[in-house]
Amino acid sequence: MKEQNMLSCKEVVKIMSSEDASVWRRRFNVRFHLWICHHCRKYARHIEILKSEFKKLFSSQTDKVDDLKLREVEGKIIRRLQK
Amino acid sequence: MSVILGGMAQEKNDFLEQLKKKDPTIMAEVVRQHTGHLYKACLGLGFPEFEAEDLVQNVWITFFDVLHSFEGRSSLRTFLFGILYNKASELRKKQKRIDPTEDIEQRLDNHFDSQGHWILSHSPISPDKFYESTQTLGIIAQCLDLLPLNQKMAFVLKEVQEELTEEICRVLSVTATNLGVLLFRARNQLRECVEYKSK
Repeated sequence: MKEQNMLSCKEVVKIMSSEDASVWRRRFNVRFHLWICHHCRKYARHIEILKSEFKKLFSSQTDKVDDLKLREVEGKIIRRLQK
Repeated sequence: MSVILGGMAQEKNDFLEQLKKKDPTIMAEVVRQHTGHLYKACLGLGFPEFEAEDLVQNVWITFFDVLHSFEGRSSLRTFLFGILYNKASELRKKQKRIDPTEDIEQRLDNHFDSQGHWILSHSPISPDKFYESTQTLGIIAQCLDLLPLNQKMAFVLKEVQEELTEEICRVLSVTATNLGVLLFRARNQLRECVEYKSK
């Protein structure tokens, strides 16, 4: 493998945080880097954990919204709009 | 095939025309269809319930004010989220919330040496410790709250709601490259924030 194809940690971090995981996971030079660099592997895990924990937070917030409350909000809006 | 598609497009146009004429039944139908999604997105962006309710109401008022200019090129939902983004920015400006001044790019640069390798003392903490930190009560919401609205919205739409890149770009009126920059900043700020709190 030629030197210019090797990505630095900094470049890999930039790619992993700007692109979708589904995209960068297909890049050979990123995968190769992750294979040899445990720091960047940790970084990749951090990004994954962030995603899943934010999803959990979001569903715990939205699960609290009951239908009754939503119907009330909708009703108010509809009345306001049709005035 | 073209007959079917043509028929569907016609139906969509009729619907839009009736909506533009402010047919009360159609209006109510559209409000019922999208309010839940908008309201939940506001909560996800960290607005408290009372603000979320006002925001959604304002989105609808504006929506019917500007509906005549809607050509149906993007979906109604994308159009509504674009309005939500503008309304939320206005509200945040009124509250004079200042964006974090410390530049995330600069902070990230400090983690690497001149060859772009991690400096050992700045390298990522163990994923177990990182995960543990995310479990601290309220920390996730606190870290999200530190982000400027455009980064927050980009992150929530992409990672939490898993919307398509194309749609998110329309909502925020940015190019795909700009969206990449927003996500880069958001993810790194959040990661730093969570990592910092674990120390």
